[in-house]
Amino acid sequence: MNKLITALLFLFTSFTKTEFKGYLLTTNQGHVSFFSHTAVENIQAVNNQVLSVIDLSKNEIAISILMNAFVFEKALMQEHFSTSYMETDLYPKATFEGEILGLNLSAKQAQTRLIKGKLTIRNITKDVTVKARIEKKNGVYVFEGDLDILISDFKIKIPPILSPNIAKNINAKFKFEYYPDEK
Amino acid sequence: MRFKILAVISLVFSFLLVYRLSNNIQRKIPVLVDSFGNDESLANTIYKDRNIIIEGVVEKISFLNERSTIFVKTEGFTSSILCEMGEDHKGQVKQLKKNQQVVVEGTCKGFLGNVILLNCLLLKMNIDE
Repeated sequence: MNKLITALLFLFTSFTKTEFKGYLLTTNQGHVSFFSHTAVENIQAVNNQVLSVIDLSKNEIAISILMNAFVFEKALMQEHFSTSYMETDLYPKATFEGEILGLNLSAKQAQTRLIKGKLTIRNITKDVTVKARIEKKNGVYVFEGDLDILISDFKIKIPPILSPNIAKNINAKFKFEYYPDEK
Repeated sequence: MRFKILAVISLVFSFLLVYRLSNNIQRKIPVLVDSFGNDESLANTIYKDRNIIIEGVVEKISFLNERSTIFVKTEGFTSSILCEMGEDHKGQVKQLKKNQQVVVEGTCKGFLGNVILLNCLLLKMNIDE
């Protein structure tokens, strides 16, 4: 699986898409957002520059997220997220590597599949299973879904005074569109 | 008295000019990309969350995720800069064409395959290209 992450990184720096044609589809404009709901306030952030690759020959997927690229409604939220909670200087990226179970490449309609893999945030890796809706339209594979992330799983420290403002369980949504011609 | 007021105004303008110049970093695209390629951690300390001005040609224009994004590169150089434009710039981006010369300013967020600039604005678009 590590080979897939390596390929993901090299793909955008060294190789041309034709070398992987037919097997690897990539996007560097994947969409990931998360939402924290509490009685005190709702916090939402969006990142539209998520890098991902799927290997259709092995049904594998790899995702890399630049944590500093999440955009919040308020600048102060962004500052707290980057410097205090996620410590993006120390842990700039989150990654996911997984296997798409039972992917049917010849399906003409949308299919819902489980993706089983490892999510790494702040250098802490957890096994997760994500349900994704997968559809192929005009040669473009679209992966959509969401997952709940327990902030305690990744040792994200919230100061007691701000604890009522941030949900213990964060819902993250994703949408990746893998274009055959994507660089 | 008038001289003193003029002197203060000049001082304030000079300070603002120096402040703006010191906060904006102008870099050639290959230099910026190579910095991240050679030592990402060091490059982050220099560029992350700083305003960067780059000049190059439009490689690709995208409106994915309801955002306006342009990829800017230097001719003959494979890597490009991903520039997500500010919300008010969709109209300007729609006028852009591939290979058009542009100057873009944005906040550097780091490197993920491309150098990523957010909240970008077009400082110059050469419509004769």
